[in-house]
Amino acid sequence: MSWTEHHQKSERFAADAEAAVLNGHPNQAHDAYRRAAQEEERAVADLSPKKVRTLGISAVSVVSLYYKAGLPDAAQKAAQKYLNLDELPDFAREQLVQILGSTTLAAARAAAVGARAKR
Amino acid sequence: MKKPRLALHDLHQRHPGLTPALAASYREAACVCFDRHHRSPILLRLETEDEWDLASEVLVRWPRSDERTLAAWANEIDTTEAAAYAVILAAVELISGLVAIGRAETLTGADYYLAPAGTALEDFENCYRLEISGLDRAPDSAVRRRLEQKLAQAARGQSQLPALAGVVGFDAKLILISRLD
Repeated sequence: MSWTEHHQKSERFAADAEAAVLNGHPNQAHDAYRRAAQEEERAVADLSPKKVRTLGISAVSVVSLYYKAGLPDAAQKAAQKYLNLDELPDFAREQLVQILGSTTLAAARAAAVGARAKR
Repeated sequence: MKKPRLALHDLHQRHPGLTPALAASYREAACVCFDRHHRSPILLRLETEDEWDLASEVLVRWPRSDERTLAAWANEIDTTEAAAYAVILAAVELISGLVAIGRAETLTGADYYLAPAGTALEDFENCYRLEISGLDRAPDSAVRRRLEQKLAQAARGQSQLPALAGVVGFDAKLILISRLD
């Protein structure tokens, strides 16, 4: 399958997930976001190395989708994989670092709140 | 003179990047946002780039939302965001002929990618990225400030150019669309 076919499958799962969020079905949304992330990951794998702008947009999409699926470990693993690519464009590198930073901070805050609540 | 009409219905039929379910949700949210402040029909002011000087006002009609729909869209932030997608995509289509052919996720939402109607999605190399935002109750000045913020945000992602930014103020009855080349 080509980038286009995988990406369009990912788009459909992501759209289903967004509709599920809007309709108040979080479990359904998480599952659809996970499938969207996996399809987008396959799309990136099938992408021509010359298409760097598309690579950057798709890489950010994969990481965002894993976070939205409630899978932070998968998101961080994917982010590290893409950050290791020399051809990853700067805008995507910046966005991935921002996503990692903001989600790490959010997790640290949540952990701190949890620790205070236990005391 | 007859005012051009903002087509919020059946967006998925003209924008291949939208599914029917999502298009219906965005439109429903837009109806709720308009219902909060106005009664159908109304004229929205539309400010754009010079070369798109097609309309300075557009007519919008919508069905009145029932109690069930209003209850389902009680979250103001989510509703305004979903509604802005419908209004800005329809406005961009009206003034430029560009339609959403694809979408990509961000941590807080999704970016739509635009191309002339009839273009098949092969990649994102030459598409326009669309930054969308909406304000429920805010004066014109706040809508303009939000557009400036969106343009600055788009400018920071230099490699993602070209980009368009669109902001709608529902209470203010104002749509702003600008291009960053």
